[in-house]
Amino acid sequence: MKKRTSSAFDLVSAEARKTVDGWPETSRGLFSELLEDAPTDLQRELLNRAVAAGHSAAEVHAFADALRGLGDVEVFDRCTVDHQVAAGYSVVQLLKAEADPLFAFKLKGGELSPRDDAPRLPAGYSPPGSPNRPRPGFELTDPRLAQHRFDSGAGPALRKNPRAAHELGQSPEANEETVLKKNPALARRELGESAVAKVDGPSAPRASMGAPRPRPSLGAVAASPGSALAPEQLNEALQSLGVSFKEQQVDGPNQPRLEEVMAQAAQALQKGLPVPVALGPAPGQDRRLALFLQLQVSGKSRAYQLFDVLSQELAWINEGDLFARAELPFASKQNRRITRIALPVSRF
Amino acid sequence: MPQPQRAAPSAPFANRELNGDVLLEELSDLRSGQVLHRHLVECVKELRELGGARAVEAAAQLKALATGRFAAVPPLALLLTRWAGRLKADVDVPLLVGHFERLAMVGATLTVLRRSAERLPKGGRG
Repeated sequence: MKKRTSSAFDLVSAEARKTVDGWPETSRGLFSELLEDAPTDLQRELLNRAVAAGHSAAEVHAFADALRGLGDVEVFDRCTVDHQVAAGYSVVQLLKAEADPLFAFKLKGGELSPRDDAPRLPAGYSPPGSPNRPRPGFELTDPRLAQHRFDSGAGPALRKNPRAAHELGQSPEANEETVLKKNPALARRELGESAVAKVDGPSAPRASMGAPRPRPSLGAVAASPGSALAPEQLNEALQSLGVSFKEQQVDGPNQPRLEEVMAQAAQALQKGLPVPVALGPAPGQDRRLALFLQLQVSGKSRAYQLFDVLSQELAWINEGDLFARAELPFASKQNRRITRIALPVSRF
Repeated sequence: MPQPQRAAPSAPFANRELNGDVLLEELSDLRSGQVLHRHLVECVKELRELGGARAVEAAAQLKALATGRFAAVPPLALLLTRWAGRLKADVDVPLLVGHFERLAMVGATLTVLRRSAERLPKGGRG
């Protein structure tokens, strides 16, 4: 398992940078993505001006969401106040609106719904772009060298630490059959007879199953309730590459089994298509998002490489361990199974 | 009758982490260097034209892209030049094209997922 870091921020104006420099790393990363996602230069300029005017990351995020679906003409109309038809506004308001597009947007009746809580990072987390973070070379990731390290000394330690062994593609742990045979209750639960499933039942409302709560936003492409993986946005983002996604929940009542969808996921991965998934403690409870990057097949065994989107942990997972639904090799142990998957299809 | 030996990819392309750790590192560098998704998509479209090209031709084409079309995007130009130098066998070419396709796809997918995670309980950190 590896902790990863990512980038600094893109396209930030000199005026905004002074403010952005004081933000936490996650907020800076988010702002960078907002600029990247903004469809036009006008929207990027407005976001930079909103930051320079001193608005919080959450406000700017909501502002970006509100603008994203609009054309330049409408954006300009909603973020500027025309002096000729602004009889109802005070001079102070007009001056402030001129300098602050977010203020003008609100002044003209626009509504924003920023999140109150800024995302928190786990203790000890190395932020993206930290200067002392070493960049791994090929020699550190070459499996043959890793195997050599395993065989020559590190082996015993890794055998005691199955998670470390996972990183090397080893699976010294018992396979799924052994795990399930030793624990019939677990086996029954993994076969779909979970307590959660019994309580909720097939017709239980999504909200009671820990469904994602879509954040209201103006103008942005709205995710339909329950679509944790945002397939509409995925399709939009990857349309130019000829890839589309079909999202589905797994292991719940009237839902496909993980084993069934992973067969399709394996085919997609072998074609080079990444497979987004949600992780959680039980079917229907989406808690984290992750991405299958690749699949390695050796004889009858398969190993999947999974990347946790927010914690940036990267791990190889043996298929048997994945199907056991008992634990995933990430720091958060409660999210032990795949709850949802977006299967990709490519036109090429 | 002895069967002809199948050509093996060069070491960088045989690396198990080519489309894992290496890809994520490259993606991180590209994002740090303000390379936009559309740049990667344009690059992928150019590289898809390399289908069936020999390693030498492909390397030359990569260098031409780096000094021509993507000269204004230095991190991407640098990446193209770096990979051009690693192309040794003809079998490396489709692996390289696939690598850049994955770069573009994974980059776009991660951007969407990071934003989607905010809708989950505890902002996707639960």
